[in-house]
Parts: sequence; C-alpha cells; structure tokens
Amino acid sequence: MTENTAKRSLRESLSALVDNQATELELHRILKESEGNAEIRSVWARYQLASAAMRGDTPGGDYVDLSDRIRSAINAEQPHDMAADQLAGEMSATARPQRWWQQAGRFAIAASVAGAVIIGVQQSSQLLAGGQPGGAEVAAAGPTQDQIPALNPALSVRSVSTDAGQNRAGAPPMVIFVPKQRDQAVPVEAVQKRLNHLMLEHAEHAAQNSGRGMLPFARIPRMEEE
Amino acid sequence: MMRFGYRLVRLFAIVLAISASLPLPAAAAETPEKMTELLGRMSAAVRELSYRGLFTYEHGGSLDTLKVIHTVRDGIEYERLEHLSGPTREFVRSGQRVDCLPPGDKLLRGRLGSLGGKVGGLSNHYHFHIRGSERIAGRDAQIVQILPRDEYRYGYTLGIDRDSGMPLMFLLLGEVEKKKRVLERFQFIELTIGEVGEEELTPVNPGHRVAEHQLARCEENLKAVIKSWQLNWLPQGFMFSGQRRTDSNGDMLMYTDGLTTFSVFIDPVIDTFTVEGQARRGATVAYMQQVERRNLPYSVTVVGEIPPITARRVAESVKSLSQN
Repeated sequence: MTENTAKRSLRESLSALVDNQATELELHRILKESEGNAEIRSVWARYQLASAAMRGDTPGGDYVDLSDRIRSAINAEQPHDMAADQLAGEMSATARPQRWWQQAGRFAIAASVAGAVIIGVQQSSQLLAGGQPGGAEVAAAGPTQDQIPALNPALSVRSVSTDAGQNRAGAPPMVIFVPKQRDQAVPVEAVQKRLNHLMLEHAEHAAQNSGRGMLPFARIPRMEEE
Repeated sequence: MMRFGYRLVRLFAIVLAISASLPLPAAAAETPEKMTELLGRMSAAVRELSYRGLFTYEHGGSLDTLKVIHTVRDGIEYERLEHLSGPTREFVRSGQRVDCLPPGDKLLRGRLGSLGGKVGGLSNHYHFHIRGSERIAGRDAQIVQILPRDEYRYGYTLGIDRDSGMPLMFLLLGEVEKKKRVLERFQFIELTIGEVGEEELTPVNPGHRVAEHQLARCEENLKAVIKSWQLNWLPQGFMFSGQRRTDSNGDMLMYTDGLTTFSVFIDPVIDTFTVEGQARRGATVAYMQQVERRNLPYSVTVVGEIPPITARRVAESVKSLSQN
C-alpha cells in the first residue's frame, strides 16, 4: 500500500468514526496512528467540526483531545478470551463470570470511547437534548390529516430488522451511555449494574401499564445473580 | 349557458384536483370512540383470555424469542413468561384480579372516572389510523398506526388480532438522529387461545423471578404520597400509576399514558457514585442526574420507553420539597 492510499483509508476510517460507523479495528488503528501524528488529530477535529456544523449544532465548547485517555484505557484492557466467539475483538477488563454481566466488558469500551469521543467535541446539553439546546417549546406538532405519511414499507410486519443503531451488525445490543460531564470518569460496571437493576424494576411497571401483559419483561437484559 | 357549462367543468376540475391531494379515506384519522373500542378490547383480551404464545422481541438489531402463558381462574390472573434465547430468564406473576384495572388499562379502555378532565383520552395525545390487514402468527391482524401529537412520546404500529383482540405485533417508532426508526418490536409467531394446563404455568428455571402482581391499588384514584419530592413537570396525558420503595432504600414513582410508561427512581447516594448522563438500550432510555436535599446528594433516574428529551425534562423537574 502506498503512503497516499494508507492515508486515504485512514481518513475514511476517521470519517466513519465521526459518523459512529467505525469498527473496533478501525478505531484501534486510528488511535495507534494518531499517537505520533498531529495531522491525524487535526483532521479528526476538522471532521468533527464539519459534522457538528452539518447537524446544525456547532460546538459551544472547546475541542478536547481525549485520544490519549482513550488509548490508555484501551491498553489497560486485557485481551479477550477467544471462547466467547462473537465477542472476539472486544475487551473485558474484568474477570467477572459471564452470566448476566456478559456485556460488562463490551460496555466498558462503549462508555469510554463513545463518551469521550462524542463529548470531547459537543456540549453535553446539546447532545442530551437531542440537538435542541434549551429548545423552545414546540407546540403539539403532530401530523395533520393531509400530512399523514404513507405507511413506510419498513414498518410492515414482514420487514426484518429493527434499527441496529450504533451497533455493528450481529453484535449484541449494548447500552450507549453518554455522561453529562465531558471529562467524567465513568465507573462503567457500577453504572451498568445500576441501570440493569432499574430496567428490571421498570419492566415490572411497564408489564402492568402498557396494555400488553407481561411482554415488556422481554426487555430485561440479564438477570441479577442471586 | 355555454359559459356556465365551462365554469362547471372548471369547478369540477378544481374539485378533482383538490380531492386528489387529499389523503385516501383509508388514511383518515379514526374517531376516539373507535380507538377506545379497539384498544379497550386489546387491553381486555390480554388480561381476560387464556392463551399460550411464542413471540419475538427485537431491538437494536438483535432478536430474542420468548414464550408467554396466561390464564384466568376464578377471576384471578396467572401468567408466566420465559426467554427461550440467551441466558435463562423467567418471570411468573399471579394474583391480580381481572376486574382490578391498573391505570394503564383504565386509559386504554377510556375509563378515567374523575381523572378525565385532567388526562383526557388517548386521542388527545396520539393520531390513530387504521391501515388494513396483515397476517401475523397465522392470524388476521388489523394494523393500526399510532402517531404522537407531541415530541414527548413515541409512535407505534400495532397488529391486533381481529378474532381475539390480542396484540400480535407491537412496534415502536422513534426518532434517532432525526431519522425515523423502529426501536423495538414485539411480534407473536404463534398464538393459541384456549385453556392452559397447570403445568404450563409452573416455572421451569429455579432462578425464576416472581413479579409483583399489583403495583397500585385499583379501587381509587391514585395520588403520589411521597413527602420529600415532587415532579414539577409531567408530559401531557401521563398519569401517576403507583409508587414503591426500592431495595436500595429509594423511591420509585410510576407514570403511564396507556401505551407507554416511565419510572422515576430517587435514591440516596451512598457511595461515590456520581455519574450523570443518559443511557439508551433499544427503546428504553435512562436519564440520570443528581439533586440535593438537606445537603445530601440523591440520584434521580428516569427510565422508560420515552424520547430522551422527555426523560430529561422529567428528571430535571424533580425537586426536593423541604430545602432545610
């Protein structure tokens, strides 16, 4: 591969990362490359700015380069046990039993990376408000009769897939956590444990008050170990 | 006369043009009465019929398969739900009287009693459209599209069994990054209505969980009786549906609009756990933040199948009632 091609493919990976579409592999490569390469870091900053501008939420805060922190966080992770076939490439810093916490390691990466990467550039308030910082009250703006969208084929019972969102195809779904403070260290396991517990309690409530009997218990991610 | 005829033709052309731009009759919004009838029948079917079914739960590109069994004996519900894929997870629930309606069912069946003035019917918060038929789990399902009237709730596409009234499909539509997406889908692949044997209701996993059968008393209109905290904002159409103490010595407050729910957890912060932020998994969002009461930190977490902005606004509206 010539140097130019390598550079181009790295930029493509960067662009994918900005769009939350990069694979773990790409992420690792970017972090490795950016270690001694100021150009990569400035390209990253530019892409983020451009992306934010396109979404209409120009960053209000200063750009913070957190790649050092992410790199050390990833380096601190231990290589994964290959037995957990599909999770290969994921890292688990913990040796917890692979029961209801199977996704804890996965979450560790998700939180440190997603949190740091997203929050490094945007103001948290914008993120959390879904791009409408202090958004003006929008009056009930449901579609009126003549604006009713046609039933999208994607909504038909025959269509196959729900939104894979930030997850890569085939990966088990994970919790995406975005801390409010941009540089906050996230006690990943504690957060995950608490969230799972609250989701269980909430499911019990949903199973009584959303017109579908016990079905909401399907949302339970993992059982707590008794 | 010629001239009049010309005008008539022109008028006809205009009428034609206008009617062409109008939605087809099939897309017309349903009356509140019709929807209460349909959703009320669904709410009753889920709780009053005996059935066993297999269904899939899909979110974030992953698929789970589950089994659900439900019956009523002497006016009391007995039910069991089991995950058939992934780690074993099983829930049993029994003891709820069929004629005891939780607030969610009251809303779906249009039985609001004296709460009516405040909450209003579901039609105040959603547009309803009937979209013909689909075949689901080998049964004839009526497809209903439910669109939110405001930004504080999600939309749904429902498939309701014409024969029994059971919900065969429950699809939640939300917006993520300004794109409409299916955030989760419950869909039966097989459903049998009819008597259920005792053995089918017996849990198969020793680690099964016994779910609470009654989170709120059904006779009276509910009111939160929490003394230390209050919510200063609730999205329209949501009503209080119960409260309880959590294991961690915190309070849990529950709210529903009939189709979806959210729970507000208020816990004393006992460790150095001070994370604030937002988490999302499938259709479920959790917004965590801290409040202070008598100089002690408490964590407020709003969990529900609601848009992030709703969770955030609710969490931010939680205030301590006594500052000192």
